[in-house]
Amino acid sequence: MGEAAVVRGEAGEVEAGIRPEDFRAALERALAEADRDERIGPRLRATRMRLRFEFPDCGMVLNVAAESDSELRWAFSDEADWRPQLELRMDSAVANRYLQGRESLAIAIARGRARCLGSSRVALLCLPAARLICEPYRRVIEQSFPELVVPSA
Amino acid sequence: MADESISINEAARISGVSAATLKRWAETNVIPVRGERWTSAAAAQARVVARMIDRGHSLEELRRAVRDGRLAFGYVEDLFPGREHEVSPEEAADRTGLEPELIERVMTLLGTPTALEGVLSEQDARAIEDMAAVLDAGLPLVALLQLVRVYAQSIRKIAEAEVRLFHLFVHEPLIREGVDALEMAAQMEGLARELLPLTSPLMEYIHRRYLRFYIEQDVVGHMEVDFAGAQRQMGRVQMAFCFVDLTGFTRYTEEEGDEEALDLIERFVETVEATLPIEATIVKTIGDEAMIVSPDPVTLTEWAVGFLALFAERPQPRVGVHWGHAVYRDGDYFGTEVNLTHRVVARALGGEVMVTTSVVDAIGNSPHLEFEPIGRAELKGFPQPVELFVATARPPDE
Repeated sequence: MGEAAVVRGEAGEVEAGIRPEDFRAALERALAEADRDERIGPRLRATRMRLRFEFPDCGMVLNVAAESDSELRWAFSDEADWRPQLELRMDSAVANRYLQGRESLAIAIARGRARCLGSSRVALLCLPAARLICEPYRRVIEQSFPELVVPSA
Repeated sequence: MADESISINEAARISGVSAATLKRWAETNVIPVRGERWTSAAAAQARVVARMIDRGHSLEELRRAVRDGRLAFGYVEDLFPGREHEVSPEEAADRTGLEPELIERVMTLLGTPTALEGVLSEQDARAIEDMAAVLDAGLPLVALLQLVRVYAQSIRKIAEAEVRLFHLFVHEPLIREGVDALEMAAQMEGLARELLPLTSPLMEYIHRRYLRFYIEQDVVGHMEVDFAGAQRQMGRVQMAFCFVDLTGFTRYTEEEGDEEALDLIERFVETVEATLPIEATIVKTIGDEAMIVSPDPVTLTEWAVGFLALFAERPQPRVGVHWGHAVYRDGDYFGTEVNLTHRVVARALGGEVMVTTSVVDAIGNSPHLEFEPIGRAELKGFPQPVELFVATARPPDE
């Protein structure tokens, strides 16, 4: 695993040099854990959200679809079998902080570090649901990708 | 135990209903008595029946309710210890060294005035002993009384939610399935017996998490006040106050219906919670409005601007932010500057973040925000016009 340099940013310590393959592996495992989790999985599926994350700095796109009667589906691809309802665009460092609950999405938007495209109604449904992924994401990176862990301020 | 036999006179004492009336209710199956075997569960149900009759319900209505399982209540008798030893306020005063009037005041704050009940239970007396120990340890009385009030208000809400949710998601489905009344009571008792021991550790866990968080916040806040050389004012705190509400919500409710509107409010508050910076807190929600406080006016204003960017169409939120002082009491913030913030949000249009001069001054030159002055506005209840600004995100090319 690569070393992640840490630079001082406006929101505190922002990690640089995130290896896309680590980030992708962490996301993949976090989604699988979220889906398996008895508490988080059903809540995620109940939202039936279709979320698209775009991480331009590492040229990565993640499409996630939750359906009430089947497992969570995701694809690290621009092409997916479903149309996203909400699109979140941010660099991997911002996403890494956001997924650990260390960065407010609204503040990232105000600072021009994230963009959110989609209707208000869908945002109201998807944004609280997207936070459900934070807990398994934190768990996965603490276990397997410690260089992605952002210390609390 | 609720299932153990008791005498009819004991049942009459517990329920506050005469033995003759109890017999009559048992004969008409309004209370569950089999073979003249009286139980504390039956007495508890009789207490509820008496209350319902006082509220104007007929015996026939109640009989139907019992038959359908809607009055299943006696199961709770098994879950909570009965009233053991009774303690008078004077006895509690002797045990704790507190004045009987103070004990009365505390019990009133808890919502169980001794004036109504006359006596304390052994559990009440032990709680009073704990409070006396807190005072002995050095917490001022004024702070203890506020804490007791906050505990009572918060825990009352928790208990109410537990009962309502249990009713909605356990009791009502059993009624719909047509489960026999006694079997229903047994099922509910079984489930409640499993759930109840889990609630206290869970609440303690959440309490400790928040306690740790707010202690850290408090330390940071004190240090910043010291660094800034700000003057301390006893009982007052300096905070960024923020109100956010949904414009056009009344019309939305008329067009979409109550259920959809309620759903929208829930998701709106969840989205506020999901996007707030970590140091900000929702103090309360009132209908479609939320009051938020934060020790940091910069991140709170940035949050407001970013949050509104999520809402392109109606009903759009609007936000008012002010940086000032308020009195912190009973878990809430009071004072002119809180009222001012409320007036400020009322002047904002949907999609706007309206702020006062104190916010603009506190933020200073921001790389992310800009403030457009809209002039001095007359605000209801404030003799002097107040200068207001609309906060927006600074375009990235600047």
